[in-house]
Amino acid sequence: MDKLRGRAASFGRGLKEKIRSRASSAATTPSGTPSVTPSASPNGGGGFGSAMSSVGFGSDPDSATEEKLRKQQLSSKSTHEQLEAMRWLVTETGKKTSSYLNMAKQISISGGDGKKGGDAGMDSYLPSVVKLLATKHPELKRLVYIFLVRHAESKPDDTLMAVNEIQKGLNDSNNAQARVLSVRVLSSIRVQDIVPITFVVIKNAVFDPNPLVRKAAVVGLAKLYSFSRDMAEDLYEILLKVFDSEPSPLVVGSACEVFNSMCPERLEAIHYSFRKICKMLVDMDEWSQVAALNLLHRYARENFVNPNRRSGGESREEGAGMAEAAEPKAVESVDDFYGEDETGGAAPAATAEVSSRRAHPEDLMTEDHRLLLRCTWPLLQSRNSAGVMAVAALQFDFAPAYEHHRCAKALMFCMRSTRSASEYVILHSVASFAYRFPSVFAPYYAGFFVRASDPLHVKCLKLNVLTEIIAEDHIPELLKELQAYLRDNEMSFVSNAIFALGRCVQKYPKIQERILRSLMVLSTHGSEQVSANSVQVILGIAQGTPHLYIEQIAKLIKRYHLIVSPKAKMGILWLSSCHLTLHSRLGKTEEEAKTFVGEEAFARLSELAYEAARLATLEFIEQPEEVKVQVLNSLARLQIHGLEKAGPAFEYVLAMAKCDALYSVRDRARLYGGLVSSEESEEAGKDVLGRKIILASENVKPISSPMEDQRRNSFSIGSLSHLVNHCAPGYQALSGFRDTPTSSSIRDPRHTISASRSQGGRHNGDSYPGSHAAGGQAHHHNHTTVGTAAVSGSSPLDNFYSDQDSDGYSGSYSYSYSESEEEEAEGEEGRQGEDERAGEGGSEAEG
Amino acid sequence: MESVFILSGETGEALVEHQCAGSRHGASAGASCVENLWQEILRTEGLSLGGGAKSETYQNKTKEEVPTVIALPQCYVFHVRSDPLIFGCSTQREVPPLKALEFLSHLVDVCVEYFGQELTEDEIKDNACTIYQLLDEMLDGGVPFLTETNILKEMIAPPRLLTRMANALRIGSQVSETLPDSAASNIPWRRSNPRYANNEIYVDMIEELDVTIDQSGMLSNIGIYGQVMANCKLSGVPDLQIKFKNPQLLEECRFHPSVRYLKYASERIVSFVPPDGGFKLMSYKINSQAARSVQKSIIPIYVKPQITYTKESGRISIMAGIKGENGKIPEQVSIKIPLPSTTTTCDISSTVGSVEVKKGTGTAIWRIGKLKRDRPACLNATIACTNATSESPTFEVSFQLQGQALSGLEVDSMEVSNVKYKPYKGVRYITRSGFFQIRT
Repeated sequence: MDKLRGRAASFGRGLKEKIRSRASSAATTPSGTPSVTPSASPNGGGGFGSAMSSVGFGSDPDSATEEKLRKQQLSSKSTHEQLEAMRWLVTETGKKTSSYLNMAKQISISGGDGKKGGDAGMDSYLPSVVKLLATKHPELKRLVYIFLVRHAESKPDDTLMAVNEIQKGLNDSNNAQARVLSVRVLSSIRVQDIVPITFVVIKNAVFDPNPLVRKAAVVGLAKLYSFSRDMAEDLYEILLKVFDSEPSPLVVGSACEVFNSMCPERLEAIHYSFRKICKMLVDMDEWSQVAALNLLHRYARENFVNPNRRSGGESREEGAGMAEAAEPKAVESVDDFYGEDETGGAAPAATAEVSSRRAHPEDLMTEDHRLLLRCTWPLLQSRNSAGVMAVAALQFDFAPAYEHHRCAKALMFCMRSTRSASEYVILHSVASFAYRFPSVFAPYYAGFFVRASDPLHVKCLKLNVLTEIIAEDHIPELLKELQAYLRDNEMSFVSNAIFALGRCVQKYPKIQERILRSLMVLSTHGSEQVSANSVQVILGIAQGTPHLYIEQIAKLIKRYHLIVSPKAKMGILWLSSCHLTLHSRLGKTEEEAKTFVGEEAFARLSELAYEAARLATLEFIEQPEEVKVQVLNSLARLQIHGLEKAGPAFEYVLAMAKCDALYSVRDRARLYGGLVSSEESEEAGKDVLGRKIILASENVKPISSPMEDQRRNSFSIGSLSHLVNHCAPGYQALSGFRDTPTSSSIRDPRHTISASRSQGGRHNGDSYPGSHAAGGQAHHHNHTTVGTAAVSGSSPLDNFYSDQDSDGYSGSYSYSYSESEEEEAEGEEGRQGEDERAGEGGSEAEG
Repeated sequence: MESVFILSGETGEALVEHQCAGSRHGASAGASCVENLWQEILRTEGLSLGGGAKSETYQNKTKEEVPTVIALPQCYVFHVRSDPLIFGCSTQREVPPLKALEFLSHLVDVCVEYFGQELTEDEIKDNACTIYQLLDEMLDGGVPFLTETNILKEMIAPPRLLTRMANALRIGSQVSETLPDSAASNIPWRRSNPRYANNEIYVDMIEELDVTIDQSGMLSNIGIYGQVMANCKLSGVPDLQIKFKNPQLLEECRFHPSVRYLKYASERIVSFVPPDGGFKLMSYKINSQAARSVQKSIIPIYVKPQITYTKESGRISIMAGIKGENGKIPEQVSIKIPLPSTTTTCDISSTVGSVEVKKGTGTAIWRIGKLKRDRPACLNATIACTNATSESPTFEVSFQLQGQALSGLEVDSMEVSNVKYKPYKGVRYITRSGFFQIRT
């Protein structure tokens, strides 16, 4: 572009253009200079700049001439030249920050100095730029503003001169754009001296007729707050006023955002605005919706109860993951029903079952609680995944359990239909939900199947979720899928899949047979990790009842020499001799363990154990430390159990180990040698310490679910802190659930308490939706309310609808929208709907 | 969000770096975030790329990617790839991560809308000034302010040929002086009062078919997802209603903000005042029961791979053809073939189409083009490799069907009200492969 422009300039401009540009600059200059700039001469500006440049740039002749040129352009009379210089300045500023940082790194040790030096280069232009403020050219003005805001902090004096000119924009009552820009720029300038001015400007702008100006002013509140904490209370007052009187969802949305960053803990302040925020939610822009939903979520935690709470309080749903490990049984029985029948219609059954153990969700919910649910659920269909996530988090906490599947469905769809960049982030949150509500997600297991193109961390997370949520009905499908993963090329993924199989077996021991077969194949896999993992899973299965797996153990031993992984070798040695230590693991006596296994099987297992130890002894010398120790272990156990054959092998290994390079092996050999010989010298039948030591053993630990991490992660789901698993600055924790809901009267507008109370009573009559259809309907009530309010013409909302009447259609948008709702409501619920409207109108009139 | 930046995907140079007005941290922190992100990318991906380039072996690894959200000592950095560029932003404070990512995605969309489908480094450099202005409008104090493309376009004109000319001739301004009326209205997504000589609206129904076929050739998983893209060139403020012939097929939907949620919930009618120009009206998921019930008849293509590996070599042969007698013919068919990780050389021949071998990722891509009904396409590959016996690659297939939505979802009627003219309406159906994989 620059080149293009340069060329165009060199072609020479037509006479016409010359005249025009002159005329325009002539028009701007006189009005531009007055109070702001000390009409600095171009030369003066240039000289100053070059002086600065020699500080900033060192001795770079190119940049010096460049600078001179730009300064000339800035002070030229042609708008076009000015524009060109400004475009260059704005573009350069972005680049400068990074390149200067590098320079600073090289030159000085203290980063702060370097940064200042860097800024100095660009902000030397500031005086000349400030002069351009008075321009009428819109693009030029924007660019000047951008530049000014960026460099204001380093040159407060020059900035002060600009303030006057910026403020002029505020008085332009015909041009909302000018006011928006003025408010935005003033509040963005971080110079202490102008804070009082900005404060007054914002205070007035909050009541501007144009909603966008008000929005900019509300955002300005947060900017001012972050800069100067002195007037926090005053800013807070203004924000509350906005909540009270603001008719436009556009602005209320921003106000929610500002509230979250300014005073997130003062939730009691939005009691009066709660209903308003709920009702406006659908009409806010998609970004504000997210903020408003977060605000409502925290508010609800403070004011409403958990509709699914149990008397016992043993639920793992409760306490947002803070709860201790809970017996999964408790959860399963409640939600099993989803596994069987996801199509709904069985809702009453679930309710009935649930009610026997806990209070009915309906009874726990107040009218406002229902309002919240009604107003938020449509956003599950938002195109913005952040919105969907926020709604789901809220609904999982506050909707009755039989509504949860709706959120699960929406989240699953969200995961598939959002860009791949967000997929992992969504999956991470979904995994946490799935951990808390495994049975709700169980029907959607297929959505977690791994695709070949997924990145590795996504694949592994999916595996974890799959094993966490799988219900018994879907086990065959899952096994088929997992077995397909075992053939993957990525070894670390395969080993994860093996562990996933292991977790499935722990959960549903019935499927052992099938899994064992494929694990046996994998045990000789070329990858050490894979073979070690599969042996470990086999261990986990067989350790308690080795006599049932003699065949498999024999096979494994047969393949011993094919196996490379030391861990797998260790595993096989351990497994083959595990019957000898069964008693210590089960906490029985040796005799009991022997009868449990069976005399014959015991002898056979001992044979196998000897065979394994023998094979291991043959290659003893080349083995790594842990295998050597395990060989010693096995042989010592066999020896102590009195297997004669093992004697020579044991002697040999002891001899070898005593001269081993590793002290741990030597130690172990001496210990075992001593213990066994002392054992032999004592009279038989005596319960000796040596025997106990050698035969002591522990069960191999069950494969722990990586979801443990998720459990420990107690941050609210969907937040940045949850994703990175540490507390990010500014994170607001959700408080625990309340035991009793707060009185709904605190949310009534201050002056219409009586009217709303009667309304609340009437509402209690119609029950909360038990199904989708009813849910939709109930929501229409709410919209009817908004619509009628507009008609009756006395609510604060009506401002909003009449505000845009100039636009012809837009004013009637929401209205016509609710009208059709009204018809429908009438059709479906007849008198009740009418009653409601009448009542609503009445209450508004009273207000 | 405290700063937003656009990086070159090749050199890591910051093409655009915007510090949000009124944000707390200084420029240095922002710059070091950019630096750190790039280092991170180099560390995880550069290594594997470098390895692929140096040695002549075929790397066949799942591509490692830097997570889209990373935590650095001073800040959190989000990024979204849009080849060849990287769009990123950084923050020091808690922000819903999805919100930041959605914003970046939206920024990509806006840039595409402004500078054309193929974003390049040069294009961004040339238009950096426009991007700074856009960002200034889209983010105020780190909070999204005005983001609707329609309004942004009205305020800051995209650099069309005409505006470039005007620029060269030194007339006019790229930026509008006044605020668009609709910005503050109830329909902030619509340009105020567009006028067209020919009023027309086109709707594209694009369906994606997710299929997994297991090693025995059986279908193991199927899902149909779709999106409705609209291109609206209507004057005034039209109100549209789209009815589907078989809305019961829809299981889940997500809508553009203009769609009235409740109307859909109660009547299954998609009713909205459209934005001007092209936009994504909705995305949907076809009822999984419905998708499963039509199952086999629905898949228009078959791909039969045969793999034999010995100790030193391997053979892959693939046959692909059309399934069914009278369906539409799949076009733009291509198959991604992962080669064994130990491949040293390979020799691939095919009867139709072209084959491209990518050494860096260890894959071969077979671009078939349009399939022929009477003659299936065949590929034969002889590979020199060691110990590939245990590997079983998953083939990824992509194709497109013109003029057909596989699920059978159909637009029944499209009514335009609130305007006096009779617009031209068009609906087009397209089916594409989504995640279509064949296991062996």
